[in-house]
Amino acid sequence: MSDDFDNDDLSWLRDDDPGDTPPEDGDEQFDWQEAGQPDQPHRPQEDQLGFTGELSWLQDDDGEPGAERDADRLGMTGELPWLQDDDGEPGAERDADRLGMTGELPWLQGDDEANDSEDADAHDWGTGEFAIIPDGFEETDGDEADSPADVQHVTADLNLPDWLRSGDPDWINDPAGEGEPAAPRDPVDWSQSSAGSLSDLPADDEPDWLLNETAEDDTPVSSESGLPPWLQDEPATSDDPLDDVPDWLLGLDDVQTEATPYTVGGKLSEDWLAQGEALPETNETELTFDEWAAQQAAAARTPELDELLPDSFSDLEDAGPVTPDDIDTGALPGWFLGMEELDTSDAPDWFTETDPTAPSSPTEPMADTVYDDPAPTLSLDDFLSTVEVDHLPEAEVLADDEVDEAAHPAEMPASLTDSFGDDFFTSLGISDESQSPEAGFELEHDEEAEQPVQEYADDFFSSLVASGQTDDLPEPSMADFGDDFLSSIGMEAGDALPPEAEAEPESPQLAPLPDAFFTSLGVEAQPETEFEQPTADDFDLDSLFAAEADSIEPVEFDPALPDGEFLSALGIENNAEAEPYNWFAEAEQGITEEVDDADWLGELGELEDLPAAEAEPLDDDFFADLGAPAPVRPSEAEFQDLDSLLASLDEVNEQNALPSTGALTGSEEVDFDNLFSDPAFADIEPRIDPETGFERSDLLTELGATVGTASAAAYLRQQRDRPLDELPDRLKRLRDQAEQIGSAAQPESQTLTDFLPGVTDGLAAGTLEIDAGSLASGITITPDQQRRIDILRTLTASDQATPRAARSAIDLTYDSGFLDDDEAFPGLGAEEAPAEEADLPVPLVQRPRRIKLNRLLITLLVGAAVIAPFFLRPLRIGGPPPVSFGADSRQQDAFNILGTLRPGDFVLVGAEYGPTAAGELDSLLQVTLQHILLQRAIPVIVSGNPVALLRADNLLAELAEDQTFLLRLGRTAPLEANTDYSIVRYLPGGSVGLRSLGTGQLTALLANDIHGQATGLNTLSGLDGFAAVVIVAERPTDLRNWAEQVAPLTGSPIIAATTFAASPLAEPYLGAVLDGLLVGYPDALAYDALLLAGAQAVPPGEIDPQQPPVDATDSLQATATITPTTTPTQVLPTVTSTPLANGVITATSTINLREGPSAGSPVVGSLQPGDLVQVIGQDDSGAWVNVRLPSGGIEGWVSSNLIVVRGAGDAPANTPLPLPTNTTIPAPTSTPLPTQTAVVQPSATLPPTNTTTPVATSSPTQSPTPIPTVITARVTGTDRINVRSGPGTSFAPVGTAGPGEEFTVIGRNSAGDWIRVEFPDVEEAWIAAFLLNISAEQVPETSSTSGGVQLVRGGGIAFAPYRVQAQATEEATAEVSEDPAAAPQPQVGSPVLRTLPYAEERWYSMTLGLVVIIIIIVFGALVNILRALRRRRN
Amino acid sequence: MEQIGLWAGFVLTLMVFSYLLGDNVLYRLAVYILVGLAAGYVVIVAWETVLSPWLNGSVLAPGAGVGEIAFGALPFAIGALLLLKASPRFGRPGQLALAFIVGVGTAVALVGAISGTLLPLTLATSSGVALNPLNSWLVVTGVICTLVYFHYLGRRMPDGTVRRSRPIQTLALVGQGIIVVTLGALYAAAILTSLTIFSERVSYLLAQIGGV
Repeated sequence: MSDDFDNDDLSWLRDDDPGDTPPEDGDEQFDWQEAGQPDQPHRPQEDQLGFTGELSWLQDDDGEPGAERDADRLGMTGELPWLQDDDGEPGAERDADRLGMTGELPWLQGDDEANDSEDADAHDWGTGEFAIIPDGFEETDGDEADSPADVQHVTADLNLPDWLRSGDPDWINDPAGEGEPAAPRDPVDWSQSSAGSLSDLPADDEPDWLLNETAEDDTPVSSESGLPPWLQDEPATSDDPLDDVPDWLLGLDDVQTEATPYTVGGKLSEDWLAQGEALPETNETELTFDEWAAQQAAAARTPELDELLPDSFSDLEDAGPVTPDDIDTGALPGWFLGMEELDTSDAPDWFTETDPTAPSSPTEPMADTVYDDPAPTLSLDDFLSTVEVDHLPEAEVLADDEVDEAAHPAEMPASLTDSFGDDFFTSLGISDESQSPEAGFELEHDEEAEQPVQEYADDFFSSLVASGQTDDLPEPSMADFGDDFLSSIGMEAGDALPPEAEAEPESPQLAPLPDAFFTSLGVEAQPETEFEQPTADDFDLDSLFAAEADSIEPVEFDPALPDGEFLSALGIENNAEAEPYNWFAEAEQGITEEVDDADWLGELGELEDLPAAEAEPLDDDFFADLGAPAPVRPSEAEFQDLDSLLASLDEVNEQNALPSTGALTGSEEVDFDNLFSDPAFADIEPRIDPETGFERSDLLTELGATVGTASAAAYLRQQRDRPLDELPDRLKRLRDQAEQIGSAAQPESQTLTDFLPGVTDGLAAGTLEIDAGSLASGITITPDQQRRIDILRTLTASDQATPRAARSAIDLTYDSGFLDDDEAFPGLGAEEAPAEEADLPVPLVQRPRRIKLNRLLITLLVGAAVIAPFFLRPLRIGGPPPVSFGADSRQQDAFNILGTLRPGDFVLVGAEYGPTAAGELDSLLQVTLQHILLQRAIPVIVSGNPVALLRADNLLAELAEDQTFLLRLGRTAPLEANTDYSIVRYLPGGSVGLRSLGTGQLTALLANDIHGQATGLNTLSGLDGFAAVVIVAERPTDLRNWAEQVAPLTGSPIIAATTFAASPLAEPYLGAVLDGLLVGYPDALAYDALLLAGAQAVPPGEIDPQQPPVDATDSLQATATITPTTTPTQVLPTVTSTPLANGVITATSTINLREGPSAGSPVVGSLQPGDLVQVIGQDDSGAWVNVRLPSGGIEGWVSSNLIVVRGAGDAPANTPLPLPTNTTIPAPTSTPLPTQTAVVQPSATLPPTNTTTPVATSSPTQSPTPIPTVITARVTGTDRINVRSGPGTSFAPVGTAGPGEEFTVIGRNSAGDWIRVEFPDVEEAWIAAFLLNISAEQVPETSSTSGGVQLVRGGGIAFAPYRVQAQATEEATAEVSEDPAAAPQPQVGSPVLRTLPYAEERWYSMTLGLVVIIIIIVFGALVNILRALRRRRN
Repeated sequence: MEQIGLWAGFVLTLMVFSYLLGDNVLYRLAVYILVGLAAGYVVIVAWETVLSPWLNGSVLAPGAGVGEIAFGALPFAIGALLLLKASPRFGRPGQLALAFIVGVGTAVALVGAISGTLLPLTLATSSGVALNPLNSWLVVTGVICTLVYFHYLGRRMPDGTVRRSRPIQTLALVGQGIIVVTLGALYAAAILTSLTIFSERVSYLLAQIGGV
């Protein structure tokens, strides 16, 4: 723009300067409108149209008819060149214009016959989408209410058409300029209209561009501006001023719907207002435009092209529109996320390129790949500028530093073709070359097809092609088409633009009124039931302008407007008072004037009378004078949005015309590949899928997507459904990026994503940025105007069009934070912000981690319950751990099976558990391994879990060095791997690995152990070579695998040991597959007790390890023969010692030993915690226990709360308790032992008394006379041992003891593995329990006698045939019970010291923990029940 | 060394127990250490017990012929194909190995299920009917009712709903009750297992503290 721009150039805008364009016909406001014939509607000339260029689309770009002009008709939405009447004459050409894609608005058009006034009257613009008209347009010229005081003042650049914003557009309402309102026209009845269907159009009505003809010959064009005659100052052809109104503006001939006058007496009529109230609350409908168009197209075409063309993106159309929630929350729909999974590395370079000229916008642009954000990041200003100013003349003079370079398209890479081919256009709906325009654009009424306004926007192009109108499109050049489109989706374009595309328009263009313009005025094109077709209002510009209108904030008029020229140019009386013109006053006052000629749009024909264009291009000064930023130069902004994209189609260049495509022309072959044959797209080479023959990109190929069977979108959706962990890394990264984008799309990201909501169906939502100098700051209206706008908006349900669920662009703008800048947006947002807060999406804020007290309390309770029994004996509730299994129990069966093992037998042990179950299964594995080893069998351990092998290795390593266990084995040498046991191998493959055991490769599998050493198991011929199979499994699956894969292959007995958790699922295998089952820690305890009870002390050294042991089979045979011969007479208690019970002081501190059973009795001694005492009786109440100190024979009484009596049972009151000796485990003391001195003949002649002697079955009826007994401990072994100062090897030795030395036992530690003994000159002396042979009497020889009872702790224990022991126990018990003098002796309370560490403590901790858990569960259930009852009551 | 191992276990146990206070670095560190060690151990064990013996017995066996070598290399070749699955572009050959594994695994599992589970359990249940009628019939009834519970076929009513017949509904109700009892038993058993493990860890910690 030149600097010498003179405000006088705005003379055409002035109405207060009659010298410039003296008003005629008494109209002083829009003289340029009335400059023509006074009785004819005038139209503005080119240069006189809105300086913002908004009306450029009303202009004809070159004023010449022909192909180039026809191309203008392809303008989309706002550009709607079809709204133009290029020749101003009815006829085929004009009718053809009606086929404009958006309208597409043929209902806006009238047939030629509509020129007659009758038909024109029948068209009621007061109804339908344009029914709501700003009151400013309702005024007539002669309305004196348009006082200067009411003139609207515009202080800044009005991006809206100023001439339309004037308060007195009488050219609209009074075509004749006589101030007489025209009769309202009837609304268009689209159900009756034939114009909606192209097929109904007469053949001769087809536009030349539909017929590939030009209108050069028959299209008269104004020599001045190229405007159609009806827009120029040509005289009307009839007296009726409406005759000059284009037909399409007057409605259709066959419109029969009765009109509802929207004004009565110059004011809005009640009926009209009622219609406004009856408008639907929301403009959303169920069908998108795409769907509607697809329905139309589907009815008239065959989808062959859909099937033939590769369709990588079309599935995105099926992904469904972005839901309001998605927009509201900023979350992207799932399909979009799936799309985001595409790898950016696979994207073409031009996708990843960023615009180096991009300015530092408040909002960071979206991701730099098309997959992240295919849509452009547009500034609202720029976007609008492209719409409004893109055709401004001499845009180069508009150069302004403030122009947002980001909005300007940059270079378009030549590699564009890598991504867009036929697929893309197919996805847009171009799929059938045989489709005819008529067939594809059946504008049948479908109420369900009424769609949300915004949804139409993105679908324009697809609707264009779906309706077949693209067939009629002129052949655009690739540059025109591609750059624009690419720009619209966020790609850079520029270099690739052909020169003609970059060229500045030589003259302002006159283009049809954009629908968005009306929307910007608060007139929301709200479809009513009468409307059957989508309208231009449904396109993006509407929503865009609606958003702008929303952003309008009342701003006080700036009286410093230069000379009022501007307002006068707008036709507004600009008084010195400069009070805001209340051009909505009528709306507020109820509209009292009668305005009959409501068809103000029809009066557009008066534009023809506009004065000739003389205006020069607007320059920066002009805008500077207005206080508005200069619009964007067209060359930079014209291809930034979809509208401009289609507008660019108008600028088709014949030389660069694309090859004909069937979809575009309807008569030629569809070949969009040829479309890209332009040198700029030389890289486009369709990738043909060898399988399907369809094209597909490398990207999709690498992703594995098969075009033809699954589109890219479908594939990505499938990827979305897959677990994230299964996704390829690239998709993971892209998903992450998508999530980041999703978060960036939050309202606070200051982006608008819904200005083209429908576009997001196929492409990512474009972002619309609001920055300084936007339209919001350029438009200033008074509060009063704002209030009226709000009223109108309410009437037109435009507010409802953006419900809370579907936030509009303006809502998001308010939320964006841009408006927080008071300087940039004075007066904006300050008042409405609170009201909008309710709609603000709540940002995702990570809640601070809170510890739930209830859970913490439960955890603490259970933890305390489990830990406390280790310290507090009173909390050791319940009975002690079991020491035996029930007869015929599954546990006893397991015990018996292992008890049948013979020395040298191989036992296959499957250790199938990991560290998580080690706490439970280690004990089971340990006892079973002990049993196998005690039987001198050889365990062969395998596992599908290497960690289990490690656990087994550790256990066996400990056992191999355990002196106690070695003594029990009767040997002193440690166990040796691959001799006494084998930890063979890891079996990978689950069931397959187990199955391999049954193959002939068993020998090879077992050749080496886990350390690589040879196992020597090559003698095994198969699974049957194992005498038994033991499965220690953590999970039911492991157990089942063994049962399924191994059990059928062997006839050996199988026992299983598993956890509590797996036991319910292991039970069914009992009897069918499993011959025995051990479950959990209690069974391990009992098993351990049985092992220990079955042992018998053997003097060390008496066992020769090399001596073959007694054949266990023989022992079993003996048992089998002995059992029936057992007689009660043989079941004699061998307890010869005084039956005593032991007591352990459980107090935590020193307690007194009193003379009598009362607290007042004299103290005769003291006891320490853990001291062992002999219990000799109790009082009647049981509160006091009579004890005797083992060391000195001092007797006294202690409180029963401070002592735990073991093996006492019910002590007789006031009498010395007849207690058995220190063992309660019935042990067959005369069981044949594998000793040299006790050779047992494996014959049936074994004396039954040797095997059936019950031990510890003494009857309470026996003599209660207590015999002083001192617990003694004799050192076993052959070496001297250390006596330490504490219970552990970490304590310093205080002395040594030789083999055979005896000490008096005065206590033990809690684990029972250290014994405190009396040692000379030492206060505390401790000896490891396994080195001692403890007895209750100082009769050492009792240990080797058949009737001797010993503590089965320490060395000198030999293994015994445990099956015999168990049976003998049962029999002995039964037989003793038959003795009337005998009382049942409880088996519990045994002082048996177990090999499992902390055995009793663990048992009690489990018990107490379980009790607490049950209490908690019950308590929780009660609370819930009470809550439910209370809730129900309420 | 043994003491170090014990105390390392002690510290790791406490680190794992720190999860009671919520997810934290100590817990994760302990988990990572355990998982990492386990993974490393598995690799070693797999090599020592599986791969190395196989190689030594086939490919590297003295005097191995072509047949032995080929046979010995076959598993490694199949394994190499599996590695290709990591690449989408070249992963197709891995399908062969995967198909082999899946096929063999399915076949083995199927045969094992029939021979190890279906037939034995069926026989055990049927044989138990005579031995322990009450218990066995309870089992049979429970199994049938539970299966009926998962019987979803029914008749479509005029109102569009699908309903099962009343006898089926009754049996299904019984089966539902059995399922509830079973799940309750599983839950209780899981609690017991957890308690057992917990008590074992507590005893371990106390043993370490006590120096026993």
